[in-house]
Amino acid sequence: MRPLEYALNGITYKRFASIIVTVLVFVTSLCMFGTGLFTDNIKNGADRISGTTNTDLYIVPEEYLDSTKDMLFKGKACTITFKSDVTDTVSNINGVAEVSRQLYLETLERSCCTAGGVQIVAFDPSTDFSVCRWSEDAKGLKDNEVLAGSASCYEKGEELDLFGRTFTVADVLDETGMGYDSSLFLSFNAADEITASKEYGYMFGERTGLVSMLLVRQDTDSDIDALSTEISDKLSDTGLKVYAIDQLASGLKSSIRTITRMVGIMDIFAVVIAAVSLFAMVTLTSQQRRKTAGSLLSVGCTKAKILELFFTEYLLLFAAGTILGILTALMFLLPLHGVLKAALEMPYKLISFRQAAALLGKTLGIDMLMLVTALSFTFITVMKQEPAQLTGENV
Amino acid sequence: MIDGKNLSKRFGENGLKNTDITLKKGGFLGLSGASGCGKTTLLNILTGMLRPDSGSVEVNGRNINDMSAKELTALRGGTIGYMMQGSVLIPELNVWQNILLPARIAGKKTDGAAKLCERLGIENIRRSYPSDISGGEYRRVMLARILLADTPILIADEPTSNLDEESASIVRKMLSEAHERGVSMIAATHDSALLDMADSVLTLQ
Repeated sequence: MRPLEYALNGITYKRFASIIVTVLVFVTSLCMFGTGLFTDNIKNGADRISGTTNTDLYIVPEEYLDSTKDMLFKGKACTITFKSDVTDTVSNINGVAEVSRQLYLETLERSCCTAGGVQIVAFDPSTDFSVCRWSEDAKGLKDNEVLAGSASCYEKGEELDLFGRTFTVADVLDETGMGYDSSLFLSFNAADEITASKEYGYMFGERTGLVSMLLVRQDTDSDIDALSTEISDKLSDTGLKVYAIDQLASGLKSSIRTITRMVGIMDIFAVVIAAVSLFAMVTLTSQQRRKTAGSLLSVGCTKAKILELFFTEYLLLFAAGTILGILTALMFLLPLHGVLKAALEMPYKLISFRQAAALLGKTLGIDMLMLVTALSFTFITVMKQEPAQLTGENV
Repeated sequence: MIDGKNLSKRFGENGLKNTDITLKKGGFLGLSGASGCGKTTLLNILTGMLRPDSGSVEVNGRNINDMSAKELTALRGGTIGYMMQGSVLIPELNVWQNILLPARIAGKKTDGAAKLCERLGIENIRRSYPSDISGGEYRRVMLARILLADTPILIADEPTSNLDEESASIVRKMLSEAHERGVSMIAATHDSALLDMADSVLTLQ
Protein backbone atom coordinates (compact mmCIF):
# COMPACT_ATOMS: atom_id res chain seq x y z
CA MET A 1 0.00 0.00 0.00
CA ARG A 2 1.37 3.39 -0.93
CA PRO A 3 1.79 5.67 2.11
CA LEU A 4 0.30 8.66 0.30
CA GLU A 5 -2.79 6.67 -0.69
CA TYR A 6 -3.25 5.48 2.89
CA ALA A 7 -2.64 8.97 4.28
CA LEU A 8 -5.19 10.59 1.98
CA ASN A 9 -7.72 7.89 2.83
CA GLY A 10 -7.08 8.41 6.52
CA ILE A 11 -7.38 12.18 6.28
CA THR A 12 -10.62 11.93 4.30
CA TYR A 13 -12.10 9.33 6.61
CA LYS A 14 -11.19 11.17 9.81
CA ARG A 15 -12.20 14.57 8.50
CA PHE A 16 -12.97 16.16 11.84
CA ALA A 17 -9.80 15.00 13.58
CA SER A 18 -7.74 15.95 10.51
CA ILE A 19 -9.21 19.44 10.41
CA ILE A 20 -8.59 19.92 14.13
CA VAL A 21 -4.94 18.84 13.85
CA THR A 22 -4.45 21.10 10.81
CA VAL A 23 -6.05 24.06 12.56
CA LEU A 24 -3.88 23.57 15.66
CA VAL A 25 -0.71 23.43 13.55
CA PHE A 26 -2.01 26.45 11.62
CA VAL A 27 -2.47 28.42 14.86
CA THR A 28 0.99 27.42 16.07
CA SER A 29 2.64 28.39 12.78
CA LEU A 30 0.69 31.64 12.52
CA CYS A 31 1.67 32.63 16.06
CA MET A 32 5.32 31.69 15.69
CA PHE A 33 5.90 33.08 12.22
CA GLY A 34 3.43 35.98 12.29
CA THR A 35 4.35 37.43 15.65
CA GLY A 36 8.01 36.60 15.02
CA LEU A 37 7.98 38.55 11.76
CA PHE A 38 6.06 41.43 13.35
CA THR A 39 8.36 41.84 16.34
CA ASP A 40 11.49 41.22 14.27
CA ASN A 41 10.40 44.01 11.92
CA ILE A 42 10.02 46.37 14.88
CA LYS A 43 13.37 45.34 16.34
CA ASN A 44 14.94 45.58 12.89
CA GLY A 45 13.66 49.13 12.51
CA ALA A 46 15.01 50.14 15.91
CA ASP A 47 18.33 48.31 15.58
CA ARG A 48 19.10 49.89 12.22
CA ILE A 49 18.45 53.50 13.16
CA SER A 50 22.12 54.28 13.66
CA GLY A 51 23.29 52.53 10.51
CA THR A 52 20.39 53.92 8.49
CA THR A 53 21.09 57.57 9.21
CA ASN A 54 24.87 57.18 9.00
CA THR A 55 25.09 59.87 11.66
CA ASP A 56 27.04 59.92 14.94
CA LEU A 57 25.57 63.01 16.60
CA TYR A 58 22.45 65.11 16.14
CA ILE A 59 22.26 68.77 17.11
CA VAL A 60 18.68 69.90 17.66
CA PRO A 61 16.95 72.79 19.50
CA GLU A 62 16.19 71.61 23.03
CA GLU A 63 12.67 73.03 22.90
CA TYR A 64 11.93 70.90 19.81
CA LEU A 65 13.40 67.67 21.18
CA ASP A 66 10.03 65.87 21.40
CA SER A 67 9.00 67.06 17.94
CA THR A 68 12.32 65.85 16.56
CA LYS A 69 11.86 62.40 18.10
CA ASP A 70 8.29 62.24 16.79
CA MET A 71 9.47 63.17 13.33
CA LEU A 72 12.42 60.77 13.30
CA PHE A 73 10.74 57.74 14.78
CA LYS A 74 6.99 58.16 14.41
CA GLY A 75 6.75 60.09 11.15
CA LYS A 76 4.80 62.97 12.72
CA ALA A 77 5.28 66.07 10.60
CA CYS A 78 6.61 69.24 12.22
CA THR A 79 8.39 72.52 11.51
CA ILE A 80 11.59 73.11 13.46
CA THR A 81 14.06 76.00 13.15
CA PHE A 82 17.29 77.02 14.85
CA LYS A 83 17.50 80.57 16.13
CA SER A 84 20.83 80.85 14.31
CA ASP A 85 22.91 78.66 12.02
CA VAL A 86 25.89 77.18 13.85
CA THR A 87 27.09 74.93 11.01
CA ASP A 88 30.43 76.66 10.69
CA THR A 89 31.00 76.63 14.47
CA VAL A 90 30.44 72.89 14.64
CA SER A 91 32.46 72.16 11.51
CA ASN A 92 35.51 73.81 13.04
CA ILE A 93 35.50 71.69 16.19
CA ASN A 94 38.37 69.22 16.36
CA GLY A 95 37.11 65.64 15.88
CA VAL A 96 34.22 66.58 13.60
CA ALA A 97 34.64 64.99 10.18
CA GLU A 98 31.49 66.12 8.42
CA VAL A 99 28.46 68.28 9.15
CA SER A 100 25.28 68.39 7.13
CA ARG A 101 22.21 70.51 7.80
CA GLN A 102 18.59 69.57 7.41
CA LEU A 103 15.43 71.66 7.54
CA TYR A 104 12.04 70.22 8.53
CA LEU A 105 8.93 71.89 7.16
CA GLU A 106 5.37 70.68 7.55
CA THR A 107 2.88 71.33 4.75
CA LEU A 108 -0.55 72.58 5.76
CA GLU A 109 -2.56 69.78 4.23
CA ARG A 110 -2.33 66.80 1.99
CA SER A 111 -4.79 65.24 -0.37
CA CYS A 112 -4.06 61.57 0.07
CA CYS A 113 -2.76 58.93 2.45
CA THR A 114 -2.58 61.03 5.61
CA ALA A 115 -4.92 63.46 7.28
CA GLY A 116 -2.20 65.76 8.59
CA GLY A 117 0.53 67.72 6.84
CA VAL A 118 3.38 66.16 4.92
CA GLN A 119 6.89 66.30 6.32
CA ILE A 120 9.28 68.11 4.00
CA VAL A 121 12.95 67.50 4.69
CA ALA A 122 15.34 69.89 3.02
CA PHE A 123 18.93 68.69 2.79
CA ASP A 124 22.10 70.00 1.28
CA PRO A 125 23.13 67.64 -1.53
CA SER A 126 26.69 69.02 -1.47
CA THR A 127 27.35 68.05 2.18
CA ASP A 128 24.81 65.27 2.70
CA PHE A 129 25.99 61.88 3.97
CA SER A 130 22.64 60.53 5.17
CA VAL A 131 19.93 60.81 2.48
CA CYS A 132 22.38 59.73 -0.21
CA ARG A 133 22.50 56.31 1.44
CA TRP A 134 18.85 55.74 0.53
CA SER A 135 19.03 57.00 -3.07
CA GLU A 136 21.81 57.38 -5.61
CA ASP A 137 19.98 60.44 -6.99
CA ALA A 138 20.33 62.45 -3.74
CA LYS A 139 23.69 64.01 -4.58
CA GLY A 140 22.50 65.31 -7.92
CA LEU A 141 19.03 66.41 -6.86
CA LYS A 142 17.83 69.44 -8.83
CA ASP A 143 15.91 72.31 -7.27
CA ASN A 144 12.66 71.29 -9.01
CA GLU A 145 12.95 67.66 -7.91
CA VAL A 146 12.05 65.79 -4.76
CA LEU A 147 12.89 62.40 -3.37
CA ALA A 148 9.93 60.52 -1.99
CA GLY A 149 10.04 58.34 1.12
CA SER A 150 9.22 54.68 0.58
CA ALA A 151 5.79 55.03 2.25
CA SER A 152 4.83 58.38 0.74
CA CYS A 153 2.48 57.11 -2.03
CA TYR A 154 4.44 58.83 -4.82
CA GLU A 155 6.10 57.16 -7.76
CA LYS A 156 9.22 58.11 -9.67
CA GLY A 157 8.45 60.67 -12.40
CA GLU A 158 5.22 61.81 -10.78
CA GLU A 159 4.62 65.54 -10.41
CA LEU A 160 3.35 67.13 -7.23
CA ASP A 161 2.72 70.61 -5.84
CA LEU A 162 4.37 71.82 -2.65
CA PHE A 163 3.97 75.36 -1.38
CA GLY A 164 2.72 76.49 -4.80
CA ARG A 165 5.65 74.96 -6.68
CA THR A 166 5.66 71.94 -8.95
CA PHE A 167 8.22 69.26 -8.26
CA THR A 168 9.03 66.00 -10.02
CA VAL A 169 9.74 62.87 -8.01
CA ALA A 170 13.32 62.00 -8.98
CA ASP A 171 13.42 58.77 -7.02
CA VAL A 172 11.70 56.81 -4.29
CA LEU A 173 14.02 56.13 -1.36
CA ASP A 174 14.83 52.76 0.11
CA GLU A 175 12.87 51.91 3.22
CA THR A 176 14.53 53.34 6.34
CA GLY A 177 12.04 52.05 8.89
CA MET A 178 11.95 55.57 10.36
CA GLY A 179 9.72 58.60 10.04
CA TYR A 180 11.64 59.54 6.93
CA ASP A 181 9.66 56.93 5.00
CA SER A 182 6.60 59.18 4.84
CA SER A 183 8.61 62.35 4.08
CA LEU A 184 9.51 64.24 0.91
CA PHE A 185 13.08 65.42 0.42
CA LEU A 186 14.11 68.51 -1.49
CA SER A 187 17.23 70.62 -1.82
CA PHE A 188 18.10 73.52 0.47
CA ASN A 189 17.91 75.91 -2.51
CA ALA A 190 14.28 74.92 -3.11
CA ALA A 191 13.55 75.24 0.61
CA ASP A 192 15.11 78.71 0.69
CA GLU A 193 12.84 79.79 -2.14
CA ILE A 194 9.84 78.62 -0.17
CA THR A 195 10.81 80.10 3.19
CA ALA A 196 11.66 83.46 1.61
CA SER A 197 8.65 83.62 -0.72
CA LYS A 198 5.93 86.20 -0.31
CA GLU A 199 3.16 83.58 -0.49
CA TYR A 200 4.48 81.27 2.21
CA GLY A 201 7.22 83.24 3.87
CA TYR A 202 4.82 84.39 6.59
CA MET A 203 5.11 80.87 7.98
CA PHE A 204 8.90 80.99 8.12
CA GLY A 205 9.72 84.64 8.59
CA GLU A 206 10.55 85.26 4.91
CA ARG A 207 14.07 84.11 5.59
CA THR A 208 16.60 81.88 3.88
CA GLY A 209 19.20 79.62 5.45
CA LEU A 210 16.90 78.16 8.08
CA VAL A 211 18.17 75.01 9.81
CA SER A 212 16.34 72.42 11.94
CA MET A 213 19.02 69.87 12.65
CA LEU A 214 22.72 69.35 12.16
CA LEU A 215 23.95 65.87 11.45
CA VAL A 216 27.51 65.24 12.55
CA ARG A 217 29.96 62.53 11.67
CA GLN A 218 33.01 62.18 13.88
CA ASP A 219 36.59 61.50 12.88
CA THR A 220 37.38 57.83 13.16
CA ASP A 221 39.96 58.42 15.90
CA SER A 222 37.88 60.79 18.04
CA ASP A 223 35.97 59.85 21.18
CA ILE A 224 32.22 60.25 20.75
CA ASP A 225 31.54 61.24 24.38
CA ALA A 226 34.35 63.79 24.46
CA LEU A 227 33.24 65.20 21.12
CA SER A 228 29.65 65.44 22.29
CA THR A 229 30.75 67.30 25.41
CA GLU A 230 32.94 69.69 23.45
CA ILE A 231 30.17 70.52 20.98
CA SER A 232 27.72 71.04 23.85
CA ASP A 233 30.14 73.44 25.52
CA LYS A 234 30.58 75.43 22.31
CA LEU A 235 26.79 75.64 21.82
CA SER A 236 25.91 76.27 25.46
CA ASP A 237 24.29 79.66 24.83
CA THR A 238 22.39 78.71 21.67
CA GLY A 239 19.61 76.54 23.08
CA LEU A 240 20.89 73.63 21.01
CA LYS A 241 21.60 70.17 22.40
CA VAL A 242 23.77 67.32 21.16
CA TYR A 243 22.46 63.79 21.13
CA ALA A 244 23.76 60.44 19.94
CA ILE A 245 21.11 58.44 18.08
CA ASP A 246 20.87 55.96 20.96
CA GLN A 247 20.03 58.80 23.35
CA LEU A 248 17.27 60.02 21.06
CA ALA A 249 15.94 56.49 20.70
CA SER A 250 16.31 55.38 24.32
CA GLY A 251 12.65 55.87 25.29
CA LEU A 252 11.56 54.31 22.05
CA LYS A 253 13.70 51.23 22.54
CA SER A 254 12.18 50.76 25.98
CA SER A 255 8.70 50.83 24.43
CA ILE A 256 9.81 48.38 21.77
CA ARG A 257 11.18 46.02 24.41
CA THR A 258 7.83 46.16 26.25
CA ILE A 259 5.83 45.53 23.09
CA THR A 260 8.01 42.67 21.88
CA ARG A 261 7.95 41.12 25.35
CA MET A 262 4.15 41.29 25.52
CA VAL A 263 3.75 39.93 22.00
CA GLY A 264 6.29 37.23 22.85
CA ILE A 265 4.33 36.18 25.95
CA MET A 266 1.08 36.02 23.96
CA ASP A 267 2.92 34.07 21.29
CA ILE A 268 4.26 31.51 23.78
CA PHE A 269 0.81 31.26 25.40
CA ALA A 270 -0.86 30.55 22.05
CA VAL A 271 1.79 28.03 21.02
CA VAL A 272 1.55 26.20 24.34
CA ILE A 273 -2.26 26.01 24.09
CA ALA A 274 -2.03 24.76 20.50
CA ALA A 275 0.66 22.21 21.40
CA VAL A 276 -1.29 20.90 24.40
CA SER A 277 -4.48 20.67 22.30
CA LEU A 278 -2.56 18.87 19.59
CA PHE A 279 -1.16 16.41 22.11
CA ALA A 280 -4.68 15.81 23.48
CA MET A 281 -5.93 15.23 19.95
CA VAL A 282 -3.18 12.75 19.23
CA THR A 283 -3.92 10.95 22.50
CA LEU A 284 -7.62 10.75 21.69
CA THR A 285 -7.00 9.30 18.24
CA SER A 286 -4.32 6.87 19.41
CA GLN A 287 -7.00 4.29 20.42
CA GLN A 288 -8.16 4.07 16.82
CA ARG A 289 -4.57 3.99 15.63
CA ARG A 290 -3.82 1.10 18.00
CA LYS A 291 -6.52 -0.97 16.35
CA THR A 292 -5.35 0.02 12.86
CA ALA A 293 -1.77 -0.88 13.74
CA GLY A 294 -2.89 -4.26 15.12
CA SER A 295 -4.86 -4.96 11.94
CA LEU A 296 -1.90 -4.04 9.78
CA LEU A 297 0.44 -6.23 11.84
CA SER A 298 -2.00 -9.15 11.54
CA VAL A 299 -1.76 -9.08 7.75
CA GLY A 300 2.01 -8.85 7.60
CA CYS A 301 2.68 -5.12 7.62
CA THR A 302 6.04 -4.30 9.26
CA LYS A 303 6.37 -1.80 12.08
CA ALA A 304 8.56 0.37 9.87
CA LYS A 305 5.83 0.43 7.23
CA ILE A 306 3.20 1.33 9.85
CA LEU A 307 5.44 4.16 11.07
CA GLU A 308 5.78 5.35 7.47
CA LEU A 309 2.00 5.28 6.99
CA PHE A 310 1.30 7.25 10.18
CA PHE A 311 4.18 9.64 9.46
CA THR A 312 2.90 10.41 5.97
CA GLU A 313 -0.57 11.19 7.31
CA TYR A 314 0.77 13.47 10.05
CA LEU A 315 3.23 15.05 7.62
CA LEU A 316 0.45 16.04 5.22
CA LEU A 317 -1.61 17.56 8.05
CA PHE A 318 1.38 19.40 9.52
CA ALA A 319 2.51 20.63 6.10
CA ALA A 320 -0.98 21.95 5.34
CA GLY A 321 -1.24 23.70 8.73
CA THR A 322 2.27 25.15 8.49
CA ILE A 323 1.89 26.45 4.94
CA LEU A 324 -1.52 27.95 5.71
CA GLY A 325 -0.19 29.59 8.88
CA ILE A 326 2.84 31.12 7.15
CA LEU A 327 0.84 32.28 4.12
CA THR A 328 -1.80 33.86 6.37
CA ALA A 329 0.90 35.72 8.31
CA LEU A 330 2.46 36.95 5.08
CA MET A 331 -0.93 37.91 3.61
CA PHE A 332 -1.60 40.14 6.60
CA LEU A 333 1.83 41.55 7.30
CA LEU A 334 3.10 42.29 3.78
CA PRO A 335 0.12 44.11 2.19
CA LEU A 336 -0.56 45.95 5.45
CA HIS A 337 3.09 46.88 5.97
CA GLY A 338 2.52 50.60 5.39
CA VAL A 339 -0.64 50.69 7.49
CA LEU A 340 1.07 48.89 10.35
CA LYS A 341 4.07 51.19 10.16
CA ALA A 342 1.83 54.26 10.35
CA ALA A 343 -0.27 52.81 13.17
CA LEU A 344 2.71 51.69 15.25
CA GLU A 345 4.38 55.10 15.35
CA MET A 346 7.78 53.53 15.79
CA PRO A 347 10.57 52.27 13.56
CA TYR A 348 9.31 49.31 11.56
CA LYS A 349 11.38 47.83 8.77
CA LEU A 350 10.98 44.54 6.95
CA ILE A 351 13.67 42.09 7.93
CA SER A 352 15.94 40.78 5.22
CA PHE A 353 15.14 37.68 3.18
CA ARG A 354 17.86 35.85 5.07
CA GLN A 355 16.37 36.79 8.45
CA ALA A 356 12.91 35.80 7.19
CA ALA A 357 14.30 32.47 6.02
CA ALA A 358 15.80 31.91 9.48
CA LEU A 359 12.43 32.69 11.08
CA LEU A 360 10.76 30.32 8.63
CA GLY A 361 13.31 27.66 9.49
CA LYS A 362 12.62 28.15 13.19
CA THR A 363 8.87 27.81 12.60
CA LEU A 364 9.33 24.70 10.48
CA GLY A 365 11.73 23.26 13.04
CA ILE A 366 9.28 23.68 15.92
CA ASP A 367 6.45 22.27 13.80
CA MET A 368 8.65 19.32 12.86
CA LEU A 369 9.50 18.80 16.54
CA MET A 370 5.78 18.73 17.33
CA LEU A 371 5.24 16.28 14.46
CA VAL A 372 8.00 13.97 15.68
CA THR A 373 6.68 14.18 19.26
CA ALA A 374 3.13 13.38 18.17
CA LEU A 375 4.32 10.54 15.95
CA SER A 376 6.68 9.13 18.59
CA PHE A 377 3.95 9.20 21.21
CA THR A 378 1.54 7.41 18.88
CA PHE A 379 4.08 4.88 17.71
CA ILE A 380 5.49 4.07 21.16
CA THR A 381 1.95 3.73 22.55
CA VAL A 382 1.07 1.42 19.70
CA MET A 383 4.19 -0.69 19.56
CA LYS A 384 4.65 -1.47 23.23
CA GLN A 385 1.64 -3.78 23.02
CA GLU A 386 1.31 -7.15 21.34
CA PRO A 387 -0.65 -7.23 18.06
CA ALA A 388 -3.57 -9.13 19.63
CA GLN A 389 -3.82 -6.50 22.38
CA LEU A 390 -3.88 -3.76 19.76
CA THR A 391 -6.78 -5.34 17.92
CA GLY A 392 -8.61 -6.08 21.18
CA GLU A 393 -9.07 -9.72 20.21
CA ASN A 394 -10.32 -11.32 23.44
CA VAL A 395 -7.33 -10.19 25.46
CA MET B 1 3.10 -27.39 9.81
CA ILE B 2 2.04 -26.07 13.20
CA ASP B 3 2.96 -27.76 16.44
CA GLY B 4 1.93 -26.14 19.72
CA LYS B 5 2.99 -27.75 23.02
CA ASN B 6 1.81 -27.15 26.56
CA LEU B 7 0.44 -23.70 25.77
CA SER B 8 -0.91 -21.59 28.64
CA LYS B 9 -2.12 -18.01 28.80
CA ARG B 10 -4.02 -16.64 31.74
CA PHE B 11 -6.55 -13.78 31.69
CA GLY B 12 -8.10 -13.29 35.12
CA GLU B 13 -10.22 -16.37 35.87
CA ASN B 14 -10.18 -17.55 32.26
CA GLY B 15 -7.45 -18.56 29.90
CA LEU B 16 -5.72 -21.33 28.08
CA LYS B 17 -4.25 -24.18 30.13
CA ASN B 18 -1.54 -26.63 29.04
CA THR B 19 -2.93 -27.12 25.56
CA ASP B 20 -1.29 -29.12 22.79
CA ILE B 21 -2.28 -28.60 19.17
CA THR B 22 -0.98 -29.99 15.91
CA LEU B 23 -1.88 -29.09 12.31
CA LYS B 24 -0.42 -31.33 9.66
CA LYS B 25 0.31 -30.17 6.13
CA GLY B 26 -2.92 -30.13 4.14
CA GLY B 27 -4.93 -30.85 7.26
CA PHE B 28 -8.13 -29.20 8.48
CA LEU B 29 -8.40 -28.93 12.24
CA GLY B 30 -11.67 -27.85 13.82
CA LEU B 31 -11.50 -26.08 17.15
CA SER B 32 -14.50 -26.10 19.43
CA GLY B 33 -15.34 -25.31 23.01
CA ALA B 34 -17.52 -23.10 25.15
CA SER B 35 -17.19 -19.34 24.99
CA GLY B 36 -14.24 -18.11 27.08
CA CYS B 37 -12.39 -21.43 26.94
CA GLY B 38 -9.49 -19.84 25.08
CA LYS B 39 -10.08 -20.61 21.39
CA THR B 40 -9.27 -17.10 20.20
CA THR B 41 -6.33 -16.89 22.61
CA LEU B 42 -4.95 -20.12 21.19
CA LEU B 43 -5.28 -18.85 17.62
CA ASN B 44 -3.61 -15.56 18.57
CA ILE B 45 -0.69 -17.51 20.05
CA LEU B 46 -0.40 -19.74 16.95
CA THR B 47 -0.19 -16.71 14.70
CA GLY B 48 2.37 -14.90 16.85
CA MET B 49 -0.13 -12.18 17.72
CA LEU B 50 0.21 -13.02 21.42
CA ARG B 51 3.01 -14.56 23.45
CA PRO B 52 2.01 -17.48 25.70
CA ASP B 53 2.83 -17.55 29.42
CA SER B 54 4.33 -20.97 28.83
CA GLY B 55 4.71 -23.51 26.08
CA SER B 56 6.01 -23.26 22.55
CA VAL B 57 4.78 -23.07 18.98
CA GLU B 58 6.66 -24.31 15.97
CA VAL B 59 5.62 -23.35 12.45
CA ASN B 60 7.31 -25.32 9.70
CA GLY B 61 9.86 -26.49 12.25
CA ARG B 62 10.76 -23.06 13.66
CA ASN B 63 9.85 -21.93 17.16
CA ILE B 64 8.02 -18.64 16.78
CA ASN B 65 9.25 -17.53 20.23
CA ASP B 66 12.71 -17.37 18.68
CA MET B 67 11.54 -15.27 15.76
CA SER B 68 12.23 -11.56 15.54
CA ALA B 69 9.35 -9.11 15.12
CA LYS B 70 10.23 -8.88 11.44
CA GLU B 71 10.16 -12.66 11.02
CA LEU B 72 6.83 -12.85 12.82
CA THR B 73 5.44 -10.20 10.50
CA ALA B 74 6.66 -12.16 7.49
CA LEU B 75 5.08 -15.29 8.96
CA ARG B 76 1.70 -13.58 9.20
CA GLY B 77 1.95 -12.03 5.78
CA GLY B 78 3.39 -14.89 3.79
CA THR B 79 2.72 -18.16 5.61
CA ILE B 80 -0.37 -17.77 7.78
CA GLY B 81 -3.56 -16.01 6.76
CA TYR B 82 -5.50 -15.10 9.89
CA MET B 83 -9.18 -14.29 9.74
CA MET B 84 -9.83 -12.75 13.13
CA GLN B 85 -13.12 -12.68 14.96
CA GLY B 86 -13.32 -9.00 15.76
CA SER B 87 -13.69 -5.84 13.70
CA VAL B 88 -10.20 -5.55 12.35
CA LEU B 89 -10.71 -4.16 8.88
CA ILE B 90 -8.88 -0.85 8.44
CA PRO B 91 -11.65 1.73 8.93
CA GLU B 92 -9.92 4.35 6.75
CA LEU B 93 -9.86 2.02 3.73
CA ASN B 94 -12.89 0.95 1.74
CA VAL B 95 -13.89 -2.69 1.30
CA TRP B 96 -11.96 -3.10 -1.94
CA GLN B 97 -8.78 -1.60 -0.48
CA ASN B 98 -9.13 -3.79 2.60
CA ILE B 99 -9.48 -6.92 0.48
CA LEU B 100 -6.39 -6.10 -1.57
CA LEU B 101 -4.29 -5.05 1.44
CA PRO B 102 -2.79 -8.39 2.66
CA ALA B 103 -2.01 -9.57 -0.87
CA ARG B 104 -0.39 -6.25 -1.74
CA ILE B 105 1.71 -6.28 1.44
CA ALA B 106 2.85 -9.83 0.64
CA GLY B 107 3.60 -8.77 -2.95
CA LYS B 108 1.11 -11.24 -4.42
CA LYS B 109 -1.17 -10.89 -7.42
CA THR B 110 -4.63 -9.48 -6.88
CA ASP B 111 -6.16 -10.51 -10.21
CA GLY B 112 -8.75 -12.79 -8.62
CA ALA B 113 -10.13 -10.17 -6.25
CA ALA B 114 -13.15 -9.21 -8.33
CA LYS B 115 -14.21 -12.80 -8.89
CA LEU B 116 -13.74 -13.55 -5.19
CA CYS B 117 -16.01 -10.65 -4.30
CA GLU B 118 -18.58 -11.86 -6.76
CA ARG B 119 -18.58 -15.37 -5.32
CA LEU B 120 -18.89 -14.04 -1.78
CA GLY B 121 -21.69 -11.69 -2.78
CA ILE B 122 -19.87 -8.52 -1.79
CA GLU B 123 -19.20 -7.00 -5.21
CA ASN B 124 -21.78 -4.26 -4.60
CA ILE B 125 -20.15 -2.96 -1.42
CA ARG B 126 -16.62 -2.61 -2.76
CA ARG B 127 -16.65 1.17 -2.39
CA SER B 128 -18.29 1.09 1.06
CA TYR B 129 -16.36 1.59 4.25
CA PRO B 130 -16.26 -1.08 6.99
CA SER B 131 -18.43 1.06 9.26
CA ASP B 132 -21.20 1.08 6.63
CA ILE B 133 -21.58 -2.67 6.03
CA SER B 134 -23.51 -5.35 7.92
CA GLY B 135 -21.95 -7.92 10.24
CA GLY B 136 -22.42 -10.68 7.66
CA GLU B 137 -20.83 -8.63 4.92
CA TYR B 138 -17.99 -7.80 7.27
CA ARG B 139 -17.23 -11.52 7.80
CA ARG B 140 -17.25 -12.17 4.07
CA VAL B 141 -14.89 -9.27 3.42
CA MET B 142 -12.55 -10.67 6.08
CA LEU B 143 -12.61 -14.04 4.36
CA ALA B 144 -12.10 -12.53 0.92
CA ARG B 145 -8.93 -10.72 1.91
CA ILE B 146 -7.47 -13.83 3.56
CA LEU B 147 -8.29 -16.03 0.58
CA LEU B 148 -6.83 -13.50 -1.84
CA ALA B 149 -3.54 -13.51 0.11
CA ASP B 150 -3.32 -17.21 -0.76
CA THR B 151 -1.21 -18.37 2.19
CA PRO B 152 -0.36 -22.05 2.75
CA ILE B 153 -1.94 -21.94 6.21
CA LEU B 154 -5.33 -20.39 6.92
CA ILE B 155 -6.56 -19.81 10.45
CA ALA B 156 -10.13 -18.64 10.84
CA ASP B 157 -11.88 -17.57 14.02
CA GLU B 158 -15.65 -18.04 13.81
CA PRO B 159 -15.75 -17.65 10.01
CA THR B 160 -19.48 -18.30 9.76
CA SER B 161 -20.73 -16.32 12.76
CA ASN B 162 -23.25 -13.53 12.05
CA LEU B 163 -24.01 -15.04 8.64
CA ASP B 164 -27.37 -16.23 7.34
CA GLU B 165 -27.47 -19.82 6.22
CA GLU B 166 -26.98 -19.00 2.55
CA SER B 167 -23.89 -16.88 3.23
CA ALA B 168 -22.57 -19.40 5.73
CA SER B 169 -22.93 -22.09 3.10
CA ILE B 170 -20.89 -20.04 0.61
CA VAL B 171 -18.18 -19.48 3.20
CA ARG B 172 -18.03 -23.15 4.07
CA LYS B 173 -17.80 -24.01 0.38
CA MET B 174 -14.94 -21.60 -0.20
CA LEU B 175 -13.04 -22.85 2.83
CA SER B 176 -13.57 -26.37 1.59
CA GLU B 177 -12.22 -25.44 -1.84
CA ALA B 178 -9.15 -23.85 -0.23
CA HIS B 179 -8.62 -27.03 1.77
CA GLU B 180 -8.92 -29.10 -1.42
CA ARG B 181 -6.26 -26.87 -3.02
CA GLY B 182 -3.92 -27.99 -0.24
CA VAL B 183 -4.26 -25.12 2.19
CA SER B 184 -3.76 -26.25 5.78
CA MET B 185 -6.53 -24.93 7.96
CA ILE B 186 -7.62 -24.37 11.54
CA ALA B 187 -11.14 -23.06 12.16
CA ALA B 188 -12.47 -22.20 15.59
CA THR B 189 -16.24 -22.41 15.35
CA HIS B 190 -19.56 -23.34 16.89
CA ASP B 191 -20.86 -24.24 13.41
CA SER B 192 -21.39 -28.01 13.39
CA ALA B 193 -21.50 -28.11 9.60
CA LEU B 194 -18.04 -26.55 9.44
CA LEU B 195 -16.74 -28.87 12.15
CA ASP B 196 -18.03 -31.80 10.10
CA MET B 197 -15.76 -30.74 7.25
CA ALA B 198 -12.64 -30.91 9.48
CA ASP B 199 -10.24 -33.87 9.46
CA SER B 200 -10.10 -33.69 13.22
CA VAL B 201 -11.60 -31.58 16.01
CA LEU B 202 -9.90 -30.27 19.12
CA THR B 203 -12.30 -29.39 21.90
CA LEU B 204 -11.03 -26.99 24.51
CA GLN B 205 -12.32 -27.28 28.08
